Amino acid sequence: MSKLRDQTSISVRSNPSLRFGLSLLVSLVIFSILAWLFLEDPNRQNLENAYAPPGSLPHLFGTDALGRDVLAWSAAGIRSALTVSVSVAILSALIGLLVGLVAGYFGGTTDAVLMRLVDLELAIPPLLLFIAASVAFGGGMINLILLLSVVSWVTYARVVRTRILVERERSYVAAARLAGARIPHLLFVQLLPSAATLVFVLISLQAGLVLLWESGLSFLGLGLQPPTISLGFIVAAGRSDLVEAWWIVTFPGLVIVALVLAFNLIGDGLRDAFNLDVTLLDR
Amino acid sequence: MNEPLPSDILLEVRDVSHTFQHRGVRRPALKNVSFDLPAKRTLAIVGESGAGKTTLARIVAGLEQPTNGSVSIEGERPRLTAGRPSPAQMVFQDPGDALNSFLPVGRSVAAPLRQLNRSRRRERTSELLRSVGLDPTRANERPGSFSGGQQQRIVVARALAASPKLLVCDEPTSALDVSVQGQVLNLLLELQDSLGFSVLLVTHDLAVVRVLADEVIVLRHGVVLEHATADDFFANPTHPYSRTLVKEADHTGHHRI
Amino acid sequence: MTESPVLRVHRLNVTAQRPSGSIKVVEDVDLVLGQTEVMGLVGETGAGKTLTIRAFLQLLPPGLQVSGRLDIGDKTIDLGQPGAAGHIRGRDIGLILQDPVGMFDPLIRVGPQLFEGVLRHDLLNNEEARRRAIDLLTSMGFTDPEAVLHLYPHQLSGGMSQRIGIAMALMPNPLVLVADEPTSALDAHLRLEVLELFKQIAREQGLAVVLVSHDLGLVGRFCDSITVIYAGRVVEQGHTGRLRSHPEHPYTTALLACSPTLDTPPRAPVAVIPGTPPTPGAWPPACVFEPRCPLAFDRCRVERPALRADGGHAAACHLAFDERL
Repeated sequence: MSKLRDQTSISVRSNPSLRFGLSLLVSLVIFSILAWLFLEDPNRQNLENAYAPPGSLPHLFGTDALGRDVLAWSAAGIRSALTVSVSVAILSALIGLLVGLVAGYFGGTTDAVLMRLVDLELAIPPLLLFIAASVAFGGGMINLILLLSVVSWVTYARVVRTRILVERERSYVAAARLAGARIPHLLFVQLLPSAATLVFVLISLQAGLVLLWESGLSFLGLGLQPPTISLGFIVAAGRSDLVEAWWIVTFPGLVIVALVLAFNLIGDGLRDAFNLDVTLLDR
Repeated sequence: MNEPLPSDILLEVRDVSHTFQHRGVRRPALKNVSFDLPAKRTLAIVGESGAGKTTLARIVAGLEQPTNGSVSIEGERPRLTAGRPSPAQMVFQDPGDALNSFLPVGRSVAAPLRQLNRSRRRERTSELLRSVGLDPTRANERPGSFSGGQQQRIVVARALAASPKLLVCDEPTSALDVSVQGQVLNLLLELQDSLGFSVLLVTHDLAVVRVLADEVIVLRHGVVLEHATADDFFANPTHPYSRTLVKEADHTGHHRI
Repeated sequence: MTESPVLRVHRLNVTAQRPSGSIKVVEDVDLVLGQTEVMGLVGETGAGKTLTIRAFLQLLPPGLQVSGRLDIGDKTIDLGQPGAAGHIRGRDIGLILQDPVGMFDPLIRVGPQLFEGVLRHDLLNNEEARRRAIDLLTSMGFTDPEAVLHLYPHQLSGGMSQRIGIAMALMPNPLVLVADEPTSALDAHLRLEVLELFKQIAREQGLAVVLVSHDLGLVGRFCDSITVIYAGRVVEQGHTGRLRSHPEHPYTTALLACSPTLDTPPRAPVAVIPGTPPTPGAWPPACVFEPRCPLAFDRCRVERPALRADGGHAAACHLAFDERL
């Protein structure tokens, strides 16, 4: 959205959060790409070389109980983590944006109904939902993305709705109505830009949260499973050997931390740059 | 002044009353307001804030429906219809609020022109910007890069794009520097002369009324206290409240209510 | 003026740092204020009048550098030193801002907010502060000042807020009161009341006032002297009477002509100043008003006119004080 960039002209140079966050994220992505190009398949088991400590080349991060290369796994895990969190962030943002725009603009009964939907969603404990859904629909990346989106869209909806409630009273909206604007024009051309910066900030803040959910679910065996690579999965696999083979849990764990940190820094940086007051719901 | 012929009347406001209701609290804003506005004339509604002027302006423009009474513009009730610009357009008090800060001004001005094809729309937008004294090549710029006075002129251009019969101006110059107000006032005079629309002017500023208005209505607490020609109003106001207003404005040598 | 001035701003300059370089936004402004003088600081939006007062109070946002000197009472402050003005702000100089509502903390009642400044600086004790607050509120026209102290800010009307804001600025008994567009946010019927109040305060409390406004006509009725600011600099300065009857700078003349009155001929074009004021960084190199000036001639495009004085009146125009005109 080049319009937005013109409008706010985010300065990366004078925004340390944004700078560090982006650098960290980019570094992790490069790390992941390089590993994909030069390292072996993380799923390859080598029982003879199980529990190799870090530093024993070529396994810089060591190997796990089945001889899988922890370095390769960590790097590959970045890919699935990013895929899931970015997909969920975008999907839930779109749903939430739409609901927020409609509820905020129309108010009245429409708003009431949609907000009850939000309340309903918030009332369901997410873990229960995941377990039930996993049992019902099975695992896999698509299902995981859909599930996490169902849980996440409410934040966007509420924030956007609040913004739109204020924005619709402004005289440029009255002018647009006098000009004969149709509803889609009012919602998507006139009002949407005012909510867009909020949504961007939320996306980056939510992405970290979603990533933790994905790791957590994979850890519990409810999320991604091999052959799909997941950081959470290998942390779970290494749990029982935490004391003797600490590297199996630690390195993937650090990667999770790094990714979430990167997203949070970017989110904070964007929030400061756009001068917004946005907080996530406590989930 | 001759009584305008019935066929000349553009705007008819009959017994309009409006009460705001919020959570059981009723606040009357207008009480039995009636007047006519002939074509090509300017009627000023003056009063302090809270008098109901803005409510009346919004009702006339069709942005709100009165709880009682009727408004008609050329025989039709003013109503917002999707796909068609309203015959009544508005110029708002705060130009910064009246323009979408994310959209290029050309897009805002062209909003009432959706039925034209793209090139014709672009032409017309340039014409409109030129007619308000702005450089048409600046159509791609956002409102933020214009001064307050220029922004207000863009608001006027947008209102004109709809070829309105009636222009409702709600404090059109109050948010502008005194040195810039004249530009907007002159523009309104000139455009009304050439395009022939009527103007409903809502303001607390008597000097602006003096420049623009043919007729004046004094509104207080939602009630019409006086309705006279501008000349009569300034020379010899009848209602005591009107007299105070004019006297105070005169005494200071400066507009005020 | 036989008594010494209570406030003197000397060579005030404000520079903004941009990636492209530094830009002057206020240039060489001098102000002299007598002890009970009411001065109007007039200029269009963006001319630099708000920046000027914020500059000598050191209340500028980051990214702006100030240089110059401020003499107030018997104190001297080097404005280039950050924090130097801290001890005179809210004590020797009171400030009233444009938005009366924004001055108050919405969660605290009016009373404590009025007392806060003087109590914190140990100027008065609780009892004295309360008495002073009541006195001030009474002189602001409140008939039941005790009740006002118990109100919350959201219960105040615009006019009330503004008057309480003035009382708040007067609590520490300052030498000078600076009011930034104090009437712009008010309904017109309150404007004159508030301005009358400023004049009255100056007389009764014996303090000087600086009124910042874009409306020369309005402010001219209440001020003893006027300073006209255009493009970050002073273009004319002097006693109101003389300035209004014999303005020496074409900009002042144009501003005076713009102020509409009831005598303006109906349905006829009003006076305007053609064009728009220049933005900082794009000021004309010689005379800043030249592009819009009806009297401009060759010298105006080449040589920047200095601020010349003639018996207490000053103007920055090559044609100023010319008996031939």
